[in-house]
Order: sequence, then structure tokens, then C-alpha cells
Amino acid sequence: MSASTAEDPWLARFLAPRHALAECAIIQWQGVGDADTPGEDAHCRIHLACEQEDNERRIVAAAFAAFGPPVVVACADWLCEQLRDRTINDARSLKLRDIEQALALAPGERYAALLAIDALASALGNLG
Amino acid sequence: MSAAGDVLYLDHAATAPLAPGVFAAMQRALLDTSANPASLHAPGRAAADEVAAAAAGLAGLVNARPRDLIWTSGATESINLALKGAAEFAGGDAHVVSVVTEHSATLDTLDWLEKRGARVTRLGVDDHGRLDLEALDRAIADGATLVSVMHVNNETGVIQEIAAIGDLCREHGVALHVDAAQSLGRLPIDMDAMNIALLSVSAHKIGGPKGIGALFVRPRTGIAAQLHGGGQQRGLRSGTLATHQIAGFGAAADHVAATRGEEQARLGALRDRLWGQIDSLEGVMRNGAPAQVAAPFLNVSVAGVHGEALLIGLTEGTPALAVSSGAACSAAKGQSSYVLRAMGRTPREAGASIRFSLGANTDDATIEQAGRRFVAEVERLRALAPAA
Repeated sequence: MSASTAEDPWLARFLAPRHALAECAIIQWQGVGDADTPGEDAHCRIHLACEQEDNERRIVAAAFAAFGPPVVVACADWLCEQLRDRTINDARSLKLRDIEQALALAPGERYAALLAIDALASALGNLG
Repeated sequence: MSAAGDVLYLDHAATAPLAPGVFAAMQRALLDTSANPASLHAPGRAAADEVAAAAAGLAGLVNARPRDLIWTSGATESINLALKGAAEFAGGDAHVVSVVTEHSATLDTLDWLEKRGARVTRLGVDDHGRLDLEALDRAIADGATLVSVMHVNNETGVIQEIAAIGDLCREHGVALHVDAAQSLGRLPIDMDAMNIALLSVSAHKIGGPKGIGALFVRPRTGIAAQLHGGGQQRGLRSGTLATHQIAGFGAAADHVAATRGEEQARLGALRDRLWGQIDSLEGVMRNGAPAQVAAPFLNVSVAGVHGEALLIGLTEGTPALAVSSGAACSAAKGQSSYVLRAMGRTPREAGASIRFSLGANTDDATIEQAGRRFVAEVERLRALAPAA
């Protein structure tokens, strides 16, 4: 287990995530995607709600559910925050490195960013 | 609450806060009896008197003779001296019988001995963490030269039947080493009645300072020194004695001797109250049969949460709970508690486990808050998890 401390930039997100599905009032999700990382005993699910705007769809809300170490929750929460108001194409441009840099992940924590990105890719692929 | 602000301190099995009188005793030893206790002059004799008084108090806790006590830096060193010393004394015939749920101080030392040719037998435990005495009997009959068993498990608080194990060792004529780091001051220990040849203890588990421990060595128990130098302590552990540390240990022992009966009953009642609060959650399992667990300990496994998330959530959230998990807690990496896995828990159950250990500063309010906080954190993490 990595030694999480108060200095971890993602700790606050783990302790008080703002985009947890359980806290979200959105009822109608158009896209849901999952990813897991058996090696870390972690699972992430991303939910997307979209609206059609002119010729493109825009994400109006995103929420997550996650099981795993604290960094998994933090990465999913950060990613959901970034998704709001993005077009689908713009959402696809979010990369692993964006999460790594934003949350200053240690090498051993990168799997959590990958998990979130993979869950997003799955959710985008499942958009109805 | 605790000595650390808003933290609910329930980690006394890791370290207990200083007991009353300990700091004053250490200060007195540092200022007034600072000479070398091995010196023959008057200041040296005064320091030696300080050491002798502490030894008498500590020996009284375990029904041993003060002169059978070897001061060490802590239980880890005591265990190393006992196991390596006994194996070296036995020579090529060394065969140590121990238990898979022992502290790493024992397990790692046994690995070290095994690499150097000693024979080691590691016995399993049942679902409640208890050693099977028939299996122990068979292992001893297979040429054991030493049996090493911890009295109270540091993760679960499970109590081994030391008196019965001592009887077995007496029947076979084999020396018994007991790691009593977690039982000193919590359970009665009688080296004579329990036939304990070697007993390892540590000060900071009973409110003494860190950095001081002891190994009791009963007469005619064969061990070889592992630390050489000035020949102090009958040549079994050279080095100038840390008088102030020893004085602190002695003061802690005196305090425990005066309070332990009532205190353990009080802690047992508080522990049961904490369990009563936690038990309201579904999917929470108590590790160890309650009647066989030392009073200050409560170890629980929690279904539906990740072990690391639970530990960090409890220790970093508000109010913070100072508790421990049994071990590094990634079930998938095989790092979950080896103690709980030996007791039949799944890797996930063993990974998501928390040890509460109560102590002198634990009161009703602490238990009430800790119980509420634990339940709330488990519910929070379960709500975060994806539905199946």
C-alpha cells in the first residue's frame, strides 16, 4: 500500500468527491462505461449525460462510481469534473497524462488514471 | 479524545501514550542518576540502584527474578536474541517450532535462521487464530530445541494458551520463548507457572518510552550472545545501559501493576460497546473469538470496501481515527494480512480489516465517536462503489 498522506494532492477529492454517482440527481444517463484493473483490485464506472447542441453532442453531466484505493476515486472524480460542457470529440481528447499531471500521480498510481480514462472511453463508446 | 488534537487515538497496540510517572522517572534518571551504572563509584551505584529498582518492578509483573532480565532496545531485539541465541547454542541440531501468525520480528528471524541451516517448523492456526496443541505436540516430538509463540497476537489480540503450551514444553523438555509484547500488563504472566524459559517484552506498549525492552532468561536456558563488547549483562548483551529508558520502563511497569485488573475490565467493556455500534453494519466480521481476545483489541473485516480506502478514509477524514490495518492492504497484490488469511479470511476480507486497540486515554466519548465515524465511513465508501 502506498503511504497516503495529507500532502497527496488527490486526498481531498477522495475524502469529499463532488461527482459521485450516489450524490448525483441526474436520472437519465446516455452513456455508461466500465473498466477494471484486477492487479489493483479496482473498478471504475463513468456515467455521461449529453444534450444535442447544433451539430454536436455536449456532455452536461458526468458522474462516477468506483471501488479501489483512494487514488482511484480521486482520478474518477477529477475526470468527471473535466467532462462537463465538453463536446464528445473534446472529451475524447482527454489523456492519461492530463490526470497524471493534474493530480501529481506517482508512478505507482498511474493505473488509477488509466482506469478512469478507459472507463470514459467505454462510456463514450456506449453513448446511445 | 487524544494527545494529538482532534484525533481519536485507538492504536495503543502500536504505542501507548506515556503512563503517569514515566516522564518524571526518566527526567530524574537523566538529571540525577546520569552516571554509568556499571561504574563502581557512588554516582555509578546510584544509577545501578535506579536500574535495579526498575528490574524489580518489571520482574514482578511476570513472576521472574530481576537478575534474569536482559535489557534490550525493544521486543524486536529481544526476540532476535532469544531465537538466534537459542539456535546458536543448540548448534547443528537447532529446530525451532513456531506459528505462522507470529509478528514479523519472529518470522523474519526464523527465515534468517533457516537460511543458515536451522530447521524451522511453522504451525498453522484455526479460524479463531488459535494454535492446535496436538499439532504442536507432534512438532515438538519431532526433535524441537525451542518453541516460540506469541502470547497475544498484535493484529487480532487473539490469546494463545501459553500455560498449556508451557506444559507441553515441560513434558518434552523443550525451552519455550514467548513474545509478550502485547500481553505484558494486559494478561497475567507467570514465567515459573507457565514454564516460560525466554520472555520478550517492550516498554512502549505499556506506556513506557520507545527504545527499551527486555528479555527474561530463566536459569539454565542456553542462549548465546548476539551483541558483543564490554560484557555487560552477564555478557549476553553488551553495551552501556540506558538508565533513563530503563527508569521509564520501570515506572510504566509500576503503574501497570497498580492498575491492570480494573483497567483491563474497563477496556473490555468499552471494546464490546464499540463492537455493538459497528455490528449494526451488514458485512462486518469480528476476527477472533471474543472470549479468546485480549480486552483492548477489536479487529474487524469489512465486506464491500477496499482496504486501503477504508484505512485512509478513517485516518485522514474528520474526525480522524488513529487505527491500524493488519498489514498493507491491497488484496490483489497479495499484501493483505497474513494473520487473517491464516485464519481463513479471503484476501479481500483480510485486506479490508481494521484493528482498534484501546488504552488508558480511551473513554466513553471516544468510543461513541469512533463507532459513529467508522459506520459513516463504511457507508460512504459503499455508496461510492459501483452497483454489482
